Amino acid sequence: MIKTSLRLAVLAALAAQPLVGSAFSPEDHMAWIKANQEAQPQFVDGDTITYDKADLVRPFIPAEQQETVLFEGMDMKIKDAGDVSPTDSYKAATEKFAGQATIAADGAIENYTSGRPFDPATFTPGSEEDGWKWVWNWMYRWQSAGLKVNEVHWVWVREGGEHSGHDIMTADGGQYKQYYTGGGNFERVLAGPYQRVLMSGRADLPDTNYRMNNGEGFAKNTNFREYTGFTSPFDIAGTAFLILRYDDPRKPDDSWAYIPSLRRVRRISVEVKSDSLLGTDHTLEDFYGFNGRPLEHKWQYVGTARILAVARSRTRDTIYYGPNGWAPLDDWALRTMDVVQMFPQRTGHPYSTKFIYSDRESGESFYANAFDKAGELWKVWQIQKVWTEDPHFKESPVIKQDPTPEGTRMLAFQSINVIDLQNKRGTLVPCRGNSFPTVELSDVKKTHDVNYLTEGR
Amino acid sequence: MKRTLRAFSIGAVALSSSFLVSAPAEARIQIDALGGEVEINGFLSSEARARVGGGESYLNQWIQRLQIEASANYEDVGVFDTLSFVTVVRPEFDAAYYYGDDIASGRHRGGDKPSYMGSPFNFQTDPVGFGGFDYLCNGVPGLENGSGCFSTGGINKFVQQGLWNPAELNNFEVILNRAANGTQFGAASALSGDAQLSGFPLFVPLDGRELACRRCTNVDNDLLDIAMNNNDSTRLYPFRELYVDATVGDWWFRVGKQQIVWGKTDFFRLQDIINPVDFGQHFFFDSFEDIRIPQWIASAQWKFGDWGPTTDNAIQFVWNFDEFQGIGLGNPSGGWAHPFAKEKGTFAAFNHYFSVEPCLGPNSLALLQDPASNVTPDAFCGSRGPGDQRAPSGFGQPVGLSYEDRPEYELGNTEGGARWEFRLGELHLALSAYSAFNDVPVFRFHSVNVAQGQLDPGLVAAANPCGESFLQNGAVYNGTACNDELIFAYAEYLATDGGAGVVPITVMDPNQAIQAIAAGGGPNAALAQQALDEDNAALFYTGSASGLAVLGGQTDIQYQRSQTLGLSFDYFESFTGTVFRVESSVTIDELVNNTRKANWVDESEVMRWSIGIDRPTWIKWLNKDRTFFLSTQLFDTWYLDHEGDKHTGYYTDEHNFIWTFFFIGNYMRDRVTPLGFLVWEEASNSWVAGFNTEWKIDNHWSVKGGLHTIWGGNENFRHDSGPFSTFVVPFGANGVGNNYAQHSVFGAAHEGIGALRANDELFFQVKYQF
Repeated sequence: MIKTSLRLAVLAALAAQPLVGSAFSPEDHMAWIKANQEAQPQFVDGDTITYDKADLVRPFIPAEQQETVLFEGMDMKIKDAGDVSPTDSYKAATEKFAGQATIAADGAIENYTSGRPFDPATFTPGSEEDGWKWVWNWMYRWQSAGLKVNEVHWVWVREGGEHSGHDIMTADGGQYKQYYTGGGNFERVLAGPYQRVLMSGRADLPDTNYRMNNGEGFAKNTNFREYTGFTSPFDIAGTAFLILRYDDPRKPDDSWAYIPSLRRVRRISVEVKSDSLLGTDHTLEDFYGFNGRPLEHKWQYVGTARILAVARSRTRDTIYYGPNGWAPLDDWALRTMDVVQMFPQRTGHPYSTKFIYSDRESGESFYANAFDKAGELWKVWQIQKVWTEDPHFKESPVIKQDPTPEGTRMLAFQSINVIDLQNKRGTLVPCRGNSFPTVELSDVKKTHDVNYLTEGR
Repeated sequence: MKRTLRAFSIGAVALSSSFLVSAPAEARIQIDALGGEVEINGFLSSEARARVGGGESYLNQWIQRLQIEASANYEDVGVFDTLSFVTVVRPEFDAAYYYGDDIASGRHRGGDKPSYMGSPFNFQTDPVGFGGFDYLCNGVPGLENGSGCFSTGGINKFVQQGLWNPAELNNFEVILNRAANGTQFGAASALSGDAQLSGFPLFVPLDGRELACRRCTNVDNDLLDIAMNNNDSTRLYPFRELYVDATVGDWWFRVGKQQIVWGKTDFFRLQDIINPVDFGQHFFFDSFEDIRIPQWIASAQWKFGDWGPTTDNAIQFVWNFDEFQGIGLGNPSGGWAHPFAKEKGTFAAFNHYFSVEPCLGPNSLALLQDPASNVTPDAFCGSRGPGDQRAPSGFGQPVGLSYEDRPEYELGNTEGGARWEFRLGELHLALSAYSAFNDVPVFRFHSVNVAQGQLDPGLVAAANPCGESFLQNGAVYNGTACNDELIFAYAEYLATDGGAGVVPITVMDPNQAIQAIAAGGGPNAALAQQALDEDNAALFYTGSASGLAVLGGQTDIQYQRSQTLGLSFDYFESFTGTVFRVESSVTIDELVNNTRKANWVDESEVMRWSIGIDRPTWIKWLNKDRTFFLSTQLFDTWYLDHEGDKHTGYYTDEHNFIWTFFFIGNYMRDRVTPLGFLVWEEASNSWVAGFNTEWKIDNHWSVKGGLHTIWGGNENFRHDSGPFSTFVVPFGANGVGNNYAQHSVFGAAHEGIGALRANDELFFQVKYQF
């Protein structure tokens, strides 16, 4: 009993190591993972963790994230997420094609068709090959036909202060006010739609070779097409991006941007993906946790960790609260996660390394962090999910959503928040009106064609 | 209609301003209305631009601008998947222009000072425009500096004849007044006879007065309209755009007043030729989005996905059914009026003031009592009734710009074309074909005034109206004093077609004129024949100018339909992370100016091409968080049928290379955006550089400040003046050796961008967007 208490105390001490951004290195992060891998939860389903009990959860929240979600006034409800595994079609494809995919010498995946290509249970901590396997598992996780978000907000928040006077609090009759509680100074808010359409590796399309349109025509050689647009504020309204990711992992993405002041579509360089997106704290590569091209990085599997995350939100849209308005007020589930370390290879890349946490069961990411070129902790990401099968997912209270077929079984992207710890600011990206609609090729040709970027402008 | 729209725009500004002040701060306004979803957004801005070049600083423009973009959007309406009604309304007001006398240091409306490229209008700066033939009397005792030795001819005669207040002359300025050796033209030195000091300066009216130039655009706009940018380039003001958008399956339709943008080049337009552009408001410093002139166009685009090896296919059909509109160069009095806009004002003024027959004013009434004069009551202005168009400034021979031959508004004169865009492998390509009229004006001499002596050797002696004898010793010539009667003699001869004029002229088509002169056996017949043999009318015009064979002529502005084929593509090179943009176009039978042609008009195949390179680049020591967007372009206009040299023929070189570079940086999470650019024009060796920084304070407020500077273009500023060679001062003095390649008419084209070098500016803008 005493030994257990002592052990817990030591672990708590390690977990409670105050975060000083400039002193926190990748090694410190690895040490935290290792120190807490065997930690046992001292809370149960239904518990509400307030600040006086924060030490109970510290072993299950990455050290660099703790300041963000553990604070005086916190209200963290523990609730098991239950079964959030992918669809049977995805599981069937995983089983059917198990052992087929391989990793080439340069890290590229070969012989992949559909499903999860590699079994994470076989991964070995410290393995670079398993790092590659992790990232291909990540790239080919279950995503249905792709996420559609009818309104993404990009909220630039700065630590301290408050935001009651920002126009987002009164926009559209004040309908967003309920979601932006707490403190934090809002500097700027962008808004716009988003949609990714998956065209290959589609576990839900076994009859067409797991490809949209049988991999022909518009879907030929293409993994996905992704559209990101902006509708406000006025100075950026109409700006839009289209990215084409190809099946060939060695082939660079093609990207175009519509620039309203030019009224013209401009081809853009892939270099932009590691650059800040329109001044947010994200790069295009940071969406979802990681949205880049695996071959532009090196990977190393770190191991597993049990982490608390908002895996199955009790609300349709993220409610922010806390002294800086960037913590999610929600149910938190303890999840087993795979952790990988990413090493960018481009000399101009702003990060020296990045850790990404993905859920073992669903394949979705909940946490990430990045270190700058000097090896100092720079940014942390939190990603919140809502389950498509929950009743409250069916009806978006503020933004109209497209229908998501019953049985889609997706941990839908609810929000991603990035906190720049060095500069004491962050970008909140709540996604409203999100869905995983059924997408016909005719729909994709209309909205994810390069020529669509100029249409209606 | 114009007054109604003007009043509407003023009301819109007032209403919107009060709404913005009183309403809660909102981003884009989005409401359910009109059965659909209505969105309204826009901005209100105030931008002050101070001219700092040329050794003098003053507020040049201070523009208050309101832009409202509104749309009503519907889904699933009848056959339409989406249906939108869209408008962009943009009233504005240039306070510096309108209150120029008070706040712009005496520029623009009500002001008495010249513009960035002007000099005060007086005898010294423009002896011919000011005093007509008075300069011939220079050096004659008692008649120095052209002290009104002639009663008529030249703008100053309005004052001399008692019809204008002298202050009226402040409403004119003089431009293109560099002497042949590059110094500032001055009558006193020019009349010394040194050809290197010769010049042909031009006076420009600055007060929007009505001028006799039929169908000419942006010449005589109302001054309040100029201040509001409500001119011939902004029809249906303040509605900038007004159209219906609809999608039906893979089809996208848009009909209405709109902009359609093709091509991939920044700053220049190769495939982007559907809409003309207004360069007269702020040169090319404003984005094309703001200066492209929306037109009434019907557009239909069909996206058909993949076809063979190509993907992302789309074909767009465009029909521009608007009334033809040429490039905007601004009103001559505008703060950034293009030099060609000012010249247009000049030649319209020539037609208005000089083509008419001369007449006398109240100050000459005493001549009626002088038995030695031949003056009769009929010689006085207005004596012929309300329709009497005569003026004291007139010379009674047609000269200047009489009309702008814009295509009539009819079906056959509409424009249209198509573009096919697609991806093929790594390339994203576009092929286009467009049939349209050239939007850059081409000046044409439709008539020249031929001294009758060139056609009839019997009248050779009358070629020089005042003769060398007069200039040398003041002796009378041929029994007639070289005075007002000379002027009237022109008119009399024209009126009676064979009357007792001293210097009779015949108005002729330029080509016919040279042929007739060659056949006439007169003193310049051989020269005319040589010009015909070598197909170089400039030889004749400049060689015969001192003999006064051709005394100017009347011009018009021509437009002609031509076909333009375009090809562009972009390519991303992954190893360097660089995007390459290539664009090219060929225009067949483009109308051009060629001063070696008798009427100055020619055609040429013109090829334009551009290569652009874009690359977001980390410059860590400047910004560790964000890349800089770097872009450079090389652009060429190649006149395949080019003719001439640096001073005759085409006023452009065969190849006209332009190189551009620009960068955009981002700081403070893209809220502070520095932008800089550099442009070099090879032919003129002129440069433009600009730098500005914008700070987006929050979702609504932003401020921006910066500078633009232009330099160079000094190396060549002269082009032959064709039939205007006779107006080069000194007028025929010393004959051979006079330098007829002058700053005007086309010398400013050789200066290129450098022609605006005196208009360096600093600017500052405050903007509120909603």
